[in-house]
Amino acid sequence: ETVLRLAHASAPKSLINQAVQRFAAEVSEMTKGSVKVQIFPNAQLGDEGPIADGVGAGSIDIGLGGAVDAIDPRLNVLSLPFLFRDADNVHKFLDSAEGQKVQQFGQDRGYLMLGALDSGFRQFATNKPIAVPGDLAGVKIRTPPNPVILATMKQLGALAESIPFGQVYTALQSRVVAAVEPEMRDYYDSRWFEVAKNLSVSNYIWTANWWYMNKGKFAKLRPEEQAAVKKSAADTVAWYRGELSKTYAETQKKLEEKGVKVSTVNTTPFVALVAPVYTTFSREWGADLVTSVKQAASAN
Amino acid sequence: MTVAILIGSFSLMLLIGVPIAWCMGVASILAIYFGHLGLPLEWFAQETLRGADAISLAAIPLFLFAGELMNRGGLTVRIMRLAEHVFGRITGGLALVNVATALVYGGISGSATADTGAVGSIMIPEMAKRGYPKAFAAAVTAASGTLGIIGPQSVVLILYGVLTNTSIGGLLVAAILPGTFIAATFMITSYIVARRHGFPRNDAPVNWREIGRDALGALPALLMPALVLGSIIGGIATATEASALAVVYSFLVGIFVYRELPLRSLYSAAAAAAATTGVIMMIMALATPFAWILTVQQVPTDAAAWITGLHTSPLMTIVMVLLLLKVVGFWLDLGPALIILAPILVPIALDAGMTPYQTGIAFTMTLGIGLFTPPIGTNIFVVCNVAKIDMWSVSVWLVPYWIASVVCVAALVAFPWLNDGLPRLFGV
Amino acid sequence: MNQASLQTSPGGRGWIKLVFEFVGVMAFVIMFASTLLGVIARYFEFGGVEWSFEVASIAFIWITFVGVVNAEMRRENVAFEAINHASPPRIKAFFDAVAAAALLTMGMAFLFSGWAVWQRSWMVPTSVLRLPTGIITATVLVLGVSAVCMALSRLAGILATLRTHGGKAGAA
Ligand code: NA
Ligand code: NA
Repeated sequence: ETVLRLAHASAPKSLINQAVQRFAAEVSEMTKGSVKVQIFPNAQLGDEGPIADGVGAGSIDIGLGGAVDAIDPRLNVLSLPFLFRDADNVHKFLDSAEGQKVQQFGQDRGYLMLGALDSGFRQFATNKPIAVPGDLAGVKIRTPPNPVILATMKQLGALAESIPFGQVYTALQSRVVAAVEPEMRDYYDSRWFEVAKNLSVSNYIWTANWWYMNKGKFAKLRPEEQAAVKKSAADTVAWYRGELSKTYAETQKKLEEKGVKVSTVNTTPFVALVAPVYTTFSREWGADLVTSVKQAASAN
Repeated sequence: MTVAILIGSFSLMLLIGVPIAWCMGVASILAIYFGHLGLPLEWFAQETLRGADAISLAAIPLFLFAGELMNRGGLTVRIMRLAEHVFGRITGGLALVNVATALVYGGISGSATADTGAVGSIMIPEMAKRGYPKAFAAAVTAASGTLGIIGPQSVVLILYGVLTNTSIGGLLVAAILPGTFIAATFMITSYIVARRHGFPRNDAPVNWREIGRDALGALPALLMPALVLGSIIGGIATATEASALAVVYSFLVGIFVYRELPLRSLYSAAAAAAATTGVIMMIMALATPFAWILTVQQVPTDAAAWITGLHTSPLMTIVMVLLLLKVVGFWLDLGPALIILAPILVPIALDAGMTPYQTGIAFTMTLGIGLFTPPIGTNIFVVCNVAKIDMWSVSVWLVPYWIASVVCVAALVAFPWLNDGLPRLFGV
Repeated sequence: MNQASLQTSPGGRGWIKLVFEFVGVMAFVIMFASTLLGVIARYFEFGGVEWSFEVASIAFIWITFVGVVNAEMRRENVAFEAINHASPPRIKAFFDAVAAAALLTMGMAFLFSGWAVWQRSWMVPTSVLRLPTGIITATVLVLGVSAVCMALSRLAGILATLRTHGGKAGAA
């Protein structure tokens, strides 16, 4: 019997955890119990960065998360601003030849990509709604320390602030920062809606919960076990995509019940401003990659 | 087996005097070597680094340094002169000042460890100078430092709100009354201890002119917590950044107002702050691989599942839940303990009839007691290092505070209005 | 307290102490300055210092690893010493030898494990400044080397004491 440790940073009740529980059940069923997946949710074994490190080294077998520098910084290419319109657009891209190519990254560092579960689109959450780029000018916005997000905020004229996750709530409360830019489910779970009551839906950046496995560990499985892992992961990705829009509708309803004003942003004037971000990262990841991803993303 | 090696070897090394940090590290190494966990070589360094990567604790060296600046720049001595007039007439008055200071800092930093460092570096030397046993001074500081996690910036309460989907605004308001209650209980405890041991008291006749002069002289120093707290409320700084402002303020007052701060001593003060931080953070860092093994071996989860299966009376369930938190609090830091146990234990506590705010505060307080309970009590490590004394001598003086804390937690469970009164009043 | 076990040449030890103390103070100053810079930049609303947070985080890790070496050199690492101090000299020497062995184990673990991390990922970029993470991993290696040296010097010291005193009481 092989036991695979799977770690992620989402809550036990989250859609991510439900997905990996289904995955674990299917793997166990397909291998008749010869492969067991043991799940560690809630960053019990560390945050997304340490999970990626752990899978690379082999202390964790399977991981999920958006921290990609250890795997391959080029995976950030899918998080370029306004690259995708909506979830359907993303999923079609991921299934395309170009999307499959991106999901081969990380092999030379010992990672095997099992798929990508949407971490989702990031939105603006502020005390007054964001409608035009001018509304962001000079606004102090807390962002995670991600180079693409930092570059995007600079282009949009906002002031990006780094504040540790645990202190963001009080920072919003005392107006140390005026805005955050979370994904909707994280906005609800972290309860930032209590202190930043406007959610401006812009889909400005899409991020993945990359789903990866230690390559050596995968190689040690028997061929039929390997097939079971891959098949179960593919089935789980499909299931997750099916549940996604329902989850977002529910989350939005819960937020509105709590008094959050949800508005939709016309993104056209924003898109015009972020072109330099593409130029910057073309230099870092290769212009070929950025161009071909951009083309494939707008092709569907 | 793995867990037995882990905890057994830790305890043996601890008893013969191996530094705590190395006890945890070597125990983890032995556990993975003999426990056949099949971990890669990188694991140990990776996990230690993960534990050390905790910038929200940067307030520890900054507050330690600010405390040293206050001591060397004449701020502490002026505050103490005034405190002598006001509280010195009560037996054990400085112990009460210690608790009150911790309550103020608790409002600032939100980290019990940073608070303990701040208060300890100021109060322990002063109390020792005025005839209190050093170990007692250290013990009061370790216990009252816990107030930091029930204060309005509490990182622990915010984490609890996120983990259990409880209103954070409500939790922070709910914590005001229990925080004050605990502070009062610690003050009463200190008073009783002081009376029993006959600690010093200021018996000089009251001289109002002298009091007025000393109050005026202490004013710039007393403004320091007010300004730092103001910088947080006013939206200028986060809790961590505020500790940097505390450094700036005490530096300016020491140089320009009191003109007593010898610039040459800044270097050694910074070196001392770095060394103390190293000791505390290395324990935190090495607790991470240690906790990793416990987590992967499912120790906390199994224990929680066991309680769920007991089906006893509500009161018994609550007692069991709190006891489990306590036992886990021996070995894990607050954050990891909450992350692993809250999702399992909170529903049990709610089923047993506790209210959400009550559960949050009782859980936080129960884990908080772990901060000043050996073997792994971060607050104890801070005061031992600041006061340069042994863990054993502090622990002896901590006994009354353990009893006081248990009384507090019992009161929090017995009287829900202590927690729910204020939130209801404010409608949060 | 345990003078006999620190028997490196005073000149050499003093020099090393000063270097570690200096690195600790530098890390502290860098962390303090970049934290302050972050506050100032936000207050006066200028951008371009998004890296200050990362610099503070890295400096904080250096404070921890260098600080603990300083504390260990000064014998100020927190321990539970009641039983050790109450023990007769021979047993105390044995306990001290175990403690030194524990330090040696830690040093080796940090060295080997840290080196493995270094080899696999020293060039992985940090999130904002895109510096090699080697500048963080190096802290583990520094602590590893220091711990091994301190442990060996202490073990030598304990042996020398036992030999000089021929096992008679009165050591340390
Ligand atoms: Na803490
Ligand atoms: Na403890």
